[in-house]
Amino acid sequence: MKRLLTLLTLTLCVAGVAMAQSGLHVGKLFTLLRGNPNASVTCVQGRALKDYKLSLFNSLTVANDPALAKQVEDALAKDARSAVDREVHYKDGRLHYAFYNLGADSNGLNRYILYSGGSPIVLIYLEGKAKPDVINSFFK
Amino acid sequence: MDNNEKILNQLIELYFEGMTTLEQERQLRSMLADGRFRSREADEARAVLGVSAILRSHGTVRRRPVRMQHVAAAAVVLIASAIAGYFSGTGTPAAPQSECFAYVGTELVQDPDEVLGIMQAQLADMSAVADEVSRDLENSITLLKISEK
Repeated sequence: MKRLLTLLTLTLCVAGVAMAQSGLHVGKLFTLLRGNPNASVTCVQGRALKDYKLSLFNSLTVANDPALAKQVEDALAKDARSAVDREVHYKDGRLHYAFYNLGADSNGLNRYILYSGGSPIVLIYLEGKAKPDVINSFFK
Repeated sequence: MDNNEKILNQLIELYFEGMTTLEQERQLRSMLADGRFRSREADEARAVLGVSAILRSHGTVRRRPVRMQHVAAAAVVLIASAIAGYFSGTGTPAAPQSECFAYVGTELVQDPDEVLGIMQAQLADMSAVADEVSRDLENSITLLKISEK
């Protein structure tokens, strides 16, 4: 039992960054869509984000693939249910823009999802100490 | 295929469809941590979830000093993670060992300046959409006020 606990603890350490997003449905997409010809996935972490008071920037874009875009929207809808604050705008019956504050995780890191439903669709996941007003100031 | 393997495969399928509950995800991680389940699907799921299988040893267990056990455990986890990632077979590229990278379609970009450029462009595009939404909202409020007069 002690060996099992030690191994599991070490496994969690090795799993490393972005543990906060591991429980999110959109989190899985950042891994699954790497190398997909109709998508782009970007990951930035560490010192590069220091000025933004963030520790993780993950984004994905999807173009020319309605089925994949739908998959992204469905994942977003599931994660949006747990948002503590949101701003959403619809255009022509479709989600056009969304800003979700998912609150802090168990490590005290604030988490946000931004979404633009244009062409291509863009989904950005941010994680860090930055408060919502700081994040909002990036975009307003 | 026994019942447990069927359950595991169902959980893996649900996980990749984004349909697992928290309890199901816990059960999936627990089953993946068990080294008995060795299949392509299980290895793929381990690679995505970052779970390393506990490799069961056979035969007589030799007691080692506690410190050596922890070092051995760490080595097992690191090696198992590397093997699971290498043989994941999903065709999904592993994360480059870098603080920043981007996949633009099938092309991997690891130049930090390029990646930061992509990030900043996306933030700028999102900002433009947010501005447009703000303007639309202000226009709607203005029209509402006019109509109330």
